[in-house]
Amino acid sequence: MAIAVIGVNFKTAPVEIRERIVFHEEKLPQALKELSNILHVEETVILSTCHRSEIYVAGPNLPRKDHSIIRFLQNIFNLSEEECLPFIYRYHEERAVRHIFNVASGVDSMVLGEAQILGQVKQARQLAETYGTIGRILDRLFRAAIEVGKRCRHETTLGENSGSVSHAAVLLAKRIFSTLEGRTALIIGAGEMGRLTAKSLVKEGLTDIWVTNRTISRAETLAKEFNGKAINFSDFLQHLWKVDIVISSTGAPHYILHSDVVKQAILERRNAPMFLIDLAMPRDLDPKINQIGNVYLYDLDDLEEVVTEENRERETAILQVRQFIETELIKFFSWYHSLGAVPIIKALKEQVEDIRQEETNKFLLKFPDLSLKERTALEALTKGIINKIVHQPLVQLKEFAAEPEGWKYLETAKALFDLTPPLDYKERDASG
Amino acid sequence: MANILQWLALGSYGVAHFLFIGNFFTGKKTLINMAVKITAIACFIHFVAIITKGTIIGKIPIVTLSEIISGIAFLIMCIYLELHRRIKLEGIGFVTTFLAAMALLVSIMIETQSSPFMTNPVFNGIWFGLHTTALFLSYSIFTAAFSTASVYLIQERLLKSKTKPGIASRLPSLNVLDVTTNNLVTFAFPLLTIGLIAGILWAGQIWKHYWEWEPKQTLALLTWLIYAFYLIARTIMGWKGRQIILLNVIGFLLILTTFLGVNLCTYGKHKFI
Repeated sequence: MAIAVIGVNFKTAPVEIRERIVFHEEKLPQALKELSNILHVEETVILSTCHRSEIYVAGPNLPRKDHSIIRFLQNIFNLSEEECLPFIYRYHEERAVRHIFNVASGVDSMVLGEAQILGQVKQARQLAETYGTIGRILDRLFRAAIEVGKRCRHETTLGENSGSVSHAAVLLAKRIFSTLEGRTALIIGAGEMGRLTAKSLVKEGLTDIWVTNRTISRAETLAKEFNGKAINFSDFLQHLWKVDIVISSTGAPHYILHSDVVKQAILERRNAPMFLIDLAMPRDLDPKINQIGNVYLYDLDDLEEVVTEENRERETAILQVRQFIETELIKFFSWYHSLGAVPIIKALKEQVEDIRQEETNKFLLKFPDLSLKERTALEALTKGIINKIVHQPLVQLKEFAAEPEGWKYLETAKALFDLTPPLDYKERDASG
Repeated sequence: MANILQWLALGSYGVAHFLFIGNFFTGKKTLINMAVKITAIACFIHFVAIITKGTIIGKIPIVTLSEIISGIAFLIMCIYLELHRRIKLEGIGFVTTFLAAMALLVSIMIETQSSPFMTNPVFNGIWFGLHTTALFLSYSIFTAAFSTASVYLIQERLLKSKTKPGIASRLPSLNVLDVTTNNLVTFAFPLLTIGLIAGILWAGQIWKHYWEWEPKQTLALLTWLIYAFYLIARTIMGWKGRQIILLNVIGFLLILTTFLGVNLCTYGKHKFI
């Protein structure tokens, strides 16, 4: 039995290559069917998102060095070897299982802990089920991966942190204002940091943006980007009290905002909290402003500290996720390895049943006058004896098979009883 | 029986409290999920304890000081759970469970000392019933408002001093706390007013004097004024910020003094336990 994943993602392939290996929705059913027709591929699932295209396969005799799946990709997407081989990764067995667990938990995503991927993994499994290309192995694997993903969502803070100053500003703003809808922000200056921070805030729902700059034209350009209003630099102080958030990143060598103006503004706002972000170096906003009640001033250093703390939180969350993955990995492989025992158990049962029948028939030939009652009793007796004999060894076999070195026990059992278990996957599957 | 249940509820509130604190410091979401579940279970056990007590003594147990405090603790937890259901106000769990646990502890401790005094015919009549019920409800809601207000002050301090955000990010935002406090007080204030008016009318009935400037009535008036001031400033005039929020803390302290502190005084007509 083997599991493998072959694919490309945003880490291994540039977008020019990736966009050629995208499975469009309409193409998926056909692709699934074609894949499942490849020799040795018994089960297949396709995971296709804007950041990765991956083919998961399972089959009892999946060869490690075979290139049939890569050739399939080349054919279906019209790619030459140079265009795809350098970018494709192949993982087998444990590495493949670990990979899908990492993917589902958001650890392998572009944005760590993103939530979308879990839904996409669910969809991929569902689709393969609909088109009948998923079997016991991949179904169990994907369900386990989805379980890991769910645990990560509910029990860790992964995905809630991000390592940029802009994001730190967003987090702080949310601690003050809860939602940013209906809030107003003033951008002072045309610095790139200020612009990026404003963008992050807009993403979180901020609607009203005002921009001011010594050069009115630059203010207007930036304001246009956010569908906002440009204000003359000479006037902006008058409007300060209307603003909830101030983002300052000018190139000025001195403070452009002092305590007295802010005190005035906060009074006019009747103490409604204000969040001031100073992204400039040297600083734009007089640090004494933070002493004013209900005003929260954060400069670059303060934001950097928030970022460091968030990164620390993220590390903790990642450790948690790794633990979940390890636990689920062990569970999955216990089950996976125990499957190896099934054909051997079947073969052993068949062998002892054959012996029983042979000996019973020989006995009946010598004693043809047995009544029906006696024949039935004989059947029961012989069946009882062989069942009792093999019961314990079979139970042990199943247990041992789940251990890391379990295959050794299976090989031993095969050798001891001289078994040749059936190789056919479907037949093995049917024996349950 | 009721006693065991009460201790069980108390213990559960305590466990929930420590789980909230645990989540506070470690950030493990599992802790807060568990804490909320245990709070709900504790609340239910508490409810059963109150009902059991009620069936034993044959009437609704909000008569003795002990029962009233226990009832308030129960209501606080109900309010918290409802707030949590509506706006995921997880962050204040550690305050409310602490208050509820303390209240329940006090309730259990003074249980033996509290004797039912309803036998006196002075306590019949609608004004007394309205007085105690309205105040009982309003005190519970004001306690919840105190929880949200104090957490506001904590979050405010953390933001101001730029302390490690990791811990503080689990607290609700200033805005949510402010709005919730306001809503709670808006709800509680009419009840307070009704309760006080009912009390005045009842006093007129039995003491023949509507107002006496004795400690309890005076403090009650002060409490009423503080919350009235808060509502006018916050709702009508639109003042926000920590100074206004602080009024809720002062108001709660006044409630404590009015409700409990006065009974420790040796003079005044209002001493009843």
